[in-house]
Amino acid sequence: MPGVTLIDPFKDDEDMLTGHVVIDVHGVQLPFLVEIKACYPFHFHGSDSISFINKDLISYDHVMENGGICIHTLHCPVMEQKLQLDIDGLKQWIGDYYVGHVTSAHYEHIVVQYGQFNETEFHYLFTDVDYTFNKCDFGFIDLAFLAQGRHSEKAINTFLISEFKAKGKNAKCKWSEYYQVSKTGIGLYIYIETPPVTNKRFIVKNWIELEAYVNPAFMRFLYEASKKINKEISLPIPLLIGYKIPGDEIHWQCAAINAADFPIYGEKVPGTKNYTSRFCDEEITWLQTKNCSYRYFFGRGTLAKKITNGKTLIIGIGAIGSTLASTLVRGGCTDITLADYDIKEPENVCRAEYSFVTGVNGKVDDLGKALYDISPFLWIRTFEGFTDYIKHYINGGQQNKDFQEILDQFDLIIDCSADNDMAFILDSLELKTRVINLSVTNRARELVCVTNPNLYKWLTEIYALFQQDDQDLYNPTGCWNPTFKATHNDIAVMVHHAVKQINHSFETNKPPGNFYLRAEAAENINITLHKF
Amino acid sequence: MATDKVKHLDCVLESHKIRKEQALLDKHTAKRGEIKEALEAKYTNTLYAPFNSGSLAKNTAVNTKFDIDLMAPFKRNAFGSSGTLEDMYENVYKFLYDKYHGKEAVVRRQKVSIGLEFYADADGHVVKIDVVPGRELNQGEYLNDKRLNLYVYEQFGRFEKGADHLRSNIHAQVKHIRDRAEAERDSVRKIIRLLKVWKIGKGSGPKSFFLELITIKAFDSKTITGDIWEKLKTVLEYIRDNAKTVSLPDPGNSGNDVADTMTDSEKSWLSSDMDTMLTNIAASDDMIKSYFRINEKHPCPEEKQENRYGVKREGASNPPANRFG
Amino acid sequence: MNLTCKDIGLRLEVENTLLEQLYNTGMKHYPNEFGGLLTGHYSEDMKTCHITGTLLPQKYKSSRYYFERGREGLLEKLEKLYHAEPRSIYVGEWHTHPDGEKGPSDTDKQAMQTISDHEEVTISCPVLLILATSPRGYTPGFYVNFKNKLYEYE
Repeated sequence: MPGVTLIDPFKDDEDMLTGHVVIDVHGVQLPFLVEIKACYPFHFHGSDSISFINKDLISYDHVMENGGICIHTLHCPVMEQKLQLDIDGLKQWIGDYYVGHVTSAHYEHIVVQYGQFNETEFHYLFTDVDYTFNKCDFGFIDLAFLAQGRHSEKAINTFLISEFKAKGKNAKCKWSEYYQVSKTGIGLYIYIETPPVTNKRFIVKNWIELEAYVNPAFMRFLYEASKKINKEISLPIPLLIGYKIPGDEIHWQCAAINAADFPIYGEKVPGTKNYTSRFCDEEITWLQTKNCSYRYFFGRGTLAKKITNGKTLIIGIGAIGSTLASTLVRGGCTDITLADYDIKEPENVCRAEYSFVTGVNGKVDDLGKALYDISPFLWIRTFEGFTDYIKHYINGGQQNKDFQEILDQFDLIIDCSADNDMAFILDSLELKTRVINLSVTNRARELVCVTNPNLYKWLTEIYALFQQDDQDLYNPTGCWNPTFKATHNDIAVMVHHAVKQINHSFETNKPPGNFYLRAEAAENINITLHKF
Repeated sequence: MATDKVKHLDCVLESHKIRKEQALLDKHTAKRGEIKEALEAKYTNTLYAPFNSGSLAKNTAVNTKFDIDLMAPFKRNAFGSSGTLEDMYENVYKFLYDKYHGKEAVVRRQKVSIGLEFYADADGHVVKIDVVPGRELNQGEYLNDKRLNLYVYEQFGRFEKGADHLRSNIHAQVKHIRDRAEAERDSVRKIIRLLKVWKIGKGSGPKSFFLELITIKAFDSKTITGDIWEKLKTVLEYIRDNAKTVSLPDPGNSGNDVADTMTDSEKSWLSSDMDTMLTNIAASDDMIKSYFRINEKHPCPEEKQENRYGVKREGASNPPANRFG
Repeated sequence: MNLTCKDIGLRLEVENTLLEQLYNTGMKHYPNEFGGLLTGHYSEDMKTCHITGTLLPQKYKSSRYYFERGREGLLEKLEKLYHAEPRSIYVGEWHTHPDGEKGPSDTDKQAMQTISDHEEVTISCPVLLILATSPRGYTPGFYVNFKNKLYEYE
């Protein structure tokens, strides 16, 4: 290969080939240790199975702590071609970052080698707070235990940071109330503003190195905390260390402290009887943290802001409503009210967003819980008696105005109740807020989406266009209430298509309008949208 | 049975006639008078005579949504020699807000106007009036040129928030529409009213002024003949084909293009709305009832079943000679 | 075009091409008035009148403000139409109002009543078409004489 000189021949070293090469790019020559895993040219856990290592290069961008150069090349199953791609990638890095000193616009987190505490992984998730941290702010934090998981035969504990006890003010993290309920641990924090690193990008390894970043007040606090905290606690006491990163954000790293053995000692101040606290010469165990704020949690995709930023009321949470609710929550909605008088029974599970495990349960409570499980930013209200109440009290007079006022507080109302009374009532209330009605025909052959004004009229007019098949219904043994036949897939595909269309309207500021979708089974399944 | 489109459209127009809501209309007129007096009392020396500029003034109103605009023409120095249009807008807003808001109406800022929505009275009637403050271009010039600058409170179409280039002779605008609506009673006016019914039924759509001007433009650009459905269809087709490119000079200021009150995407939706509507009606006559809804408060009387063309007896007629005037 | 006389529920259908033809005929006599007979047929339920043609008078007198239609030769033509397949009959009258309104004058109303009452006329609800004409175009006004009163179609 041109530009590649073999220095040490490759040898077999426990499932790995290792050797030394020198790479020449326009006269610049750099030596590398090359490690090739047995699975080469395939990837290993999503990463390349070949490494080019040179520890002298760690101060350059895209170099790992072990001196490995980060090159990500394309998939290629042919060994010779893959090797060529990888060498080209390495040459590209040398050209860009070693010779060219290119700085990449994309911010990369500092490099941290994460450890374990008592052979268990710990993860601390943090989110935004309404508090501006100043340099050397410190204090206690409240933790909430989220769950225990397992991976590669190791236990993993996940905690949420729920509150920073700041001077004069407690800064609650913006998780929803559901995730704020119990305080199950305690920790410490200090905001040091600049990242605690050596070689620009590598986090400090020894407690001694941290001393330069903190002030005596914090050391005193640490000493007092060491006295105050129950030494029997077997969990790590996380010390969160915060610093600024681009985009006006704070990132927190977490150093583990053993409750029984704080990494500090007292040193006599010469000429006085006073002692001052110093960090011990001891390696830091860094535990994993993650910024789990709304914008990262939903970073991979959200629905239109007009949908996610508002208050949404979903009336009727059967197959359509529950699928819709779960899509909205995964799409970034944070304020949802569920209205349904019904109870969930085992036979609902097969095509709605319910689980068997919760048994027979009120639908609003059951779905509410399932939705809370999805997102830590969700606030749910439930209204079991909504339809009964509105049908009972609607009278055309003052009561209507009260209903209008209540319902207009929502930014979006989606009626999935398949109840024509409800459609009629919602239409006649002439609400200012957007009302959308979603319903399906038997076998979910059609999904109809109508919106106000004239929602009820459009609903009846569009249904009049269909030849409804009311005979072929599902009649369970001994049941007086036949229902449509349709699978979860039949319904969900239509609901998702409709949500995509509605979301598109909101994104382009166009009213969603009235339409129906039809799934036609010929040689292939075609879903077509008919607009009105 | 297929819908008789002509009969249906006639009924739509009939059921939306303003005189069928005379009581509500009277209440609007009374309130407008009251607001006008209040403005005149407050701005004694700085305001010219307020006048009506909405669809009632243009004869293109429908009874489901009264479109009552009250223009308030201010003198150039009404808010000080360095007073801005925003000062004018905010001053009038504050006056109306203090006087009405929370007492008998909700007062809110709108695109170029200040909207007053009065609480429903015992009959359930809600009076809505928009006050549009405008300022003459130069001191004392209004009486001659009738031109006014409006303040754009909220970005719309291509007009930025805070823009002040809506210089218009509102009198000329009103006259333009009214004259055309009057001259071609059976055509322009009916089509404009039908388009308003369509827009209200949909809950959104272009500004009325845009619909009025594009309808007139359609009549100027195409031969529009036939019964009311044929005429409507031709205008809908014209809008479908031209909404994206049409230029609609403001009759109150030829430098303004009223087409600029819509964004490009809004124009393209309008075109596609027309396309969808025409396609659906072509597929089924009944669909016309969904796009152009009869005002159910005033249904059309059932057809006179008993009346028929009479024949006295078999055989050919021998009509007498006759004199016509 | 399709028109309905809302007050009494009778309908009228006429082709735009026929109106064009009448306008062109009328314009040959502009600025004087001109006119003739309307022929056509009724629907089965006798609720709609279809106007399909015109017969022009051989003798007439006209000025800018009046039009007097003679009857010579018209009966023969009407009888021929009556026996033709499909049958057409006399359904009413038309004339122009050059540079005028499409509304009927008192003379027009009286004339229509005379026709309704005339014993040699076999229909009882004759139709009247007035074409308000000018070189720029025309506006049609359609009326029917029903139970001694002239109603306008819309």
